[in-house]
Amino acid sequence: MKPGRPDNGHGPARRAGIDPDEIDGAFVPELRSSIASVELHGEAVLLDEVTGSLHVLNAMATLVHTCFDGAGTIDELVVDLAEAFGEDVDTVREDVVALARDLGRQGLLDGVIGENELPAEPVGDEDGT
Amino acid sequence: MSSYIRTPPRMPAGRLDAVPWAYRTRWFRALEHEFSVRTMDPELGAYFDELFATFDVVAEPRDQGRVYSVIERSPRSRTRFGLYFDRERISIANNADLVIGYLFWHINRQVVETSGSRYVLLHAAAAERDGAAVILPARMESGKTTTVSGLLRAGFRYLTDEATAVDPDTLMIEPYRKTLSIDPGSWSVLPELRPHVPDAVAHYVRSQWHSDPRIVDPDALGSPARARLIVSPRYESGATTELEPLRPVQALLTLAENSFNLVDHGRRGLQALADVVEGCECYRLTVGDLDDAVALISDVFDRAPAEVGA
Repeated sequence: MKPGRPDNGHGPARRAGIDPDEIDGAFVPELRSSIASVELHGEAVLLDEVTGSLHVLNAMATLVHTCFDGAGTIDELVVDLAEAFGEDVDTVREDVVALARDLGRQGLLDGVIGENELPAEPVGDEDGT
Repeated sequence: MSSYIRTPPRMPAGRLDAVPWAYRTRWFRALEHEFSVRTMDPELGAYFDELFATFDVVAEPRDQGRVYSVIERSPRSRTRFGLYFDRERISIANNADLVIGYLFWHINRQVVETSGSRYVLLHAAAAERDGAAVILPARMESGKTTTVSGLLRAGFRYLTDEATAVDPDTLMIEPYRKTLSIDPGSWSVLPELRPHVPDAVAHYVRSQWHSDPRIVDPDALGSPARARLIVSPRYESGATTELEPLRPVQALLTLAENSFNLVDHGRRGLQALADVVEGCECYRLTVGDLDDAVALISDVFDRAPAEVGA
């Protein structure tokens, strides 16, 4: 017997959304609803309830990811974060965009196609072509 | 023994019951899996009755209990042994040892399958002393069984060497007290756990010891307990035996990666494991020498506060 993740055997999932590298300051980050998060002594473990994948966030990422709630753009978030960290806004924006792209690649953000996922099938035109 | 008993993948209704069974064991409960075993060899059946007595023995199963059937045909048969779980064939083989190995494997699998909705199940050994448990999560062949066997010598009581069941509501570790499955590589360091196997059934169990922990101490079967210590062992021949503290998030990841069914419990299961970690001191253990490993574990166990963080 081996512990492990579920495998639906159907290959990569298809998902509507943008490529992680397209994330910029105008993006509104939100964790997918299937992501469970628990924090221990300033570090978080995320569990994807669909795939079973596990992810560990360092202290900075743990703090920032709690702001990824769909309530504002990255540009709006970094203003508050820069003030909280006492850092330059541009530096914070750079870090937050990098974190969002990383979480997006790992399939953790809504509206972003993870690196193990495929874009959703394009819907046909109304004339059937 | 008869050579006329066919062993199709699914046995027609009533056909198995018509086999001339020589022995039917008692009903056993291993977490949520209730089962008995019937055999054509009476001495094998009696051996199983003794072996599985580390589980709870129940007068009657709560629901419809499941029956394993071990068919044995003439020595001239090409596939002499057959193993069924109710009417489904699990294994056919010419090797008695192999079929019995499949029986133990299937019991483990059924325990995970039937108990998974109630417990978060970890691929971990566990032992307890004075109502507090040490959990030993690790991959296969890491030394979980050997390490937990060594702990019995230090006065710990046995909870499991295979699947640690965490109740997500109470955080209690519920025992899965299967016999210790000890591989030949560990026989020399655990001589006191050599099982007594009657000569008549020795050919069934050659490749592994199936040892009752009560060989070491009649009181060796542990009771449900809350975890105080998490130690993830890794055997490394010739290495210095040493403990390395784990950050709580590392310990949680270790438990989560060694879970059979965390995704089925989702966020509730993840939170339960986090709560277990919060109550524990956590280490990674390199095991070069078993006695040294047991001494280190015992030492940190005794020094760990009854409630970490209290």
